[in-house]
Amino acid sequence: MVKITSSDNQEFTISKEIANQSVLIKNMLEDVGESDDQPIPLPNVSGAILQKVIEYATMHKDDPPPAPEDETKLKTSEDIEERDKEFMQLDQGTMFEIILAANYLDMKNLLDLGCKTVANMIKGKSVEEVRKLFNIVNDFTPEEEEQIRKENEWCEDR
Amino acid sequence: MAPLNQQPQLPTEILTQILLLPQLSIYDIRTISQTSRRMREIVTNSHFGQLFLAMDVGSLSFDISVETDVSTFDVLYYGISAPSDLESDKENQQLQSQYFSLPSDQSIFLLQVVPESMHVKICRWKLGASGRVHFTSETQSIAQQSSPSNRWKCSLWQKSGTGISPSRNSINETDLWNNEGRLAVPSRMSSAGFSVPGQETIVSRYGLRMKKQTAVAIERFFGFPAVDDDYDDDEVKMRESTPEEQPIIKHTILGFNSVN
Repeated sequence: MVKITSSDNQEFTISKEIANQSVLIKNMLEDVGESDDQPIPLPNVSGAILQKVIEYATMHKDDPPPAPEDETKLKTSEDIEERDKEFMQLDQGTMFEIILAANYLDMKNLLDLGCKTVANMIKGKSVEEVRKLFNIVNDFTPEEEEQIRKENEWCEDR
Repeated sequence: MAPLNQQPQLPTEILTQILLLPQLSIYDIRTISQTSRRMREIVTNSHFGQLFLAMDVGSLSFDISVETDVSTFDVLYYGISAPSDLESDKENQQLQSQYFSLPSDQSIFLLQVVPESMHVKICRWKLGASGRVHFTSETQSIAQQSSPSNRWKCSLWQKSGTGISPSRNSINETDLWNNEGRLAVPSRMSSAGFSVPGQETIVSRYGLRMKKQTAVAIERFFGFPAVDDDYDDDEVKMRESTPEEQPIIKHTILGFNSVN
């Protein structure tokens, strides 16, 4: 078993196969060796998010190793498994934190899932809808907005 | 749930990764670029973003700064019909129908794709009022890049009898015409020029032969499938686009045309 601690000092004990889904933790285990007493600190991930990450890793612990990436297999939303879609039914803040944690922990599958989920949220939205969805403040000046409007005239009537 | 203004922001590298996902169309990426200065910068710095900005400057001068080894390029001769009201000049119509044996309102796109980076270059050829073809500096660069290592590109041109030499530093309009006065470009379905020896090629949804990576890049760029869903290595499919697909194609091309 492997012990890990979050940024808010919550300690989790997980199996090695779950721990190894994180390349970061896997490398740390290889570097420092396994020790039941010394938890691995993960200062960039809170306990609540780490709990979710462990939930994801547990859900996928029996998955076969990923096949070599086939560029012709287009990764559309249909590629997201139903259980993963359910897993990502989160408020946006939590979702972003999970994506950041996946990036930090080097968990490619979880990062891909997060990115695809965000992309699906963006798809087909208008500028205002995307701003609202991601709390993006419009910081363009009126002149810049006019310039952008002109630049985009060609695709406005799509 | 944290208040919106306290939620974490995704770093640029992750946002860039999201931009490159194929489910986002060129329009979606364009939308993202219009939301804020930061998003615009991220899009601009991506390969697609550079293409957008280049298109804004002018469709005949796609100056994409990301460059790579030309031997990795795939070249695709991409012919699509545009709505007829874009090309109403009678002379053009006659010339185009004569030389291309295709709809008189045909525009031709030449795409360079760098599969590794999904970097796409687009050039457009079009018959002008003089009946001459207009082409881009990117088109010239393709001729210049021809070399023994990418002989297939050269053969694309030489096959059509243009006499363009790989060592030439530039080409001009007349180079694109052969001795018979015909536009020296293979016809749309003449796909032999696109077959790269030793490299896997497929026939796309639109009857064009291309590398698999190219098909993926095209799909990402245009936002609609370039490859037959039922593509099978052993049984290459070839068909024209369906009526349902045509509006998408025409619309896409409208976008390019209107920035002229």
